[in-house]
Amino acid sequence: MSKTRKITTMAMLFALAMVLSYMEGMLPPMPYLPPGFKLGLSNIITMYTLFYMGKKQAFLIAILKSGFVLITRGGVSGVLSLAGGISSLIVMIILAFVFKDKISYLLLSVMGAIFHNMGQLAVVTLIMVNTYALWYTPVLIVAGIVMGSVTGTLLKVVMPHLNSLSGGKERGR
Amino acid sequence: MEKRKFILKSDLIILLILGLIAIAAFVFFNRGEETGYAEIVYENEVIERLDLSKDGIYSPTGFDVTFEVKDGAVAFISSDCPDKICVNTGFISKRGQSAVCLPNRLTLRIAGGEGTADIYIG
Repeated sequence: MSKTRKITTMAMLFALAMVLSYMEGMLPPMPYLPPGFKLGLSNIITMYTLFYMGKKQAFLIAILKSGFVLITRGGVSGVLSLAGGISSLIVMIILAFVFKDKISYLLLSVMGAIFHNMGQLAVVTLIMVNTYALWYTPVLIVAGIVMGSVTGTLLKVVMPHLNSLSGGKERGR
Repeated sequence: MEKRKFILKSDLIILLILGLIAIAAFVFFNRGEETGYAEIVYENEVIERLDLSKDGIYSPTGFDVTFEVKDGAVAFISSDCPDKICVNTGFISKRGQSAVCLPNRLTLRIAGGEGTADIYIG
């Protein structure tokens, strides 16, 4: 990939991540669902970036996205976004390294979503300096399974379109 | 072109097992009895104890949040925080459950029945 194409692709991916993050923030909280059940639409972009652009680029998108959340939704949301994004990326990188091609995109997406929530819960526990929020862990795992499956499926749907943007060669193996 | 599959048959089994473990853990964590008392905790310090046998509305001094006690359960019903996670948690009544307001660093949790409430509301 030429340097120019890389820069423009990254710019497009970051723009998409911001738009998805902002759009999701405008949705009303879903009725009958406990808090923590969030779609995490912009994680589609982080995951795509990880597998098609590279690890460094994926971390860059996650950090920039948290900066955007910080500006639009305040400090606590920004820190939570960063913790979730980074722990999700680390888990997906480890799983993809250990299992190579034997692990599916769907399972990677689900594990990423679960650890996104776990990273946030860890930060909540740190900020609150107590452990009362930990009883919520099982709910967040179920949320990760459901929402990770949804975003994983959406990734499959949008992948051809994102590929026409980036050139579409999976890398990092 | 791509070697990695989108979905594998084994995924469904893994997700099913994971889901069942989480649901079992949820049931285990929520097996607690209704103690009838709740604590409002700021960081690590209990600032109020609430008696859940008396319905009413309560707002701790210094915080822009409101709690409601109703039918032996308690909830955040309003808060000045932007995300409203605490309010969305809804009513809690069983030992071990909690609702957390991160920006205000407040935790509402169901506590053991020992001792008496500092404050009776309603």
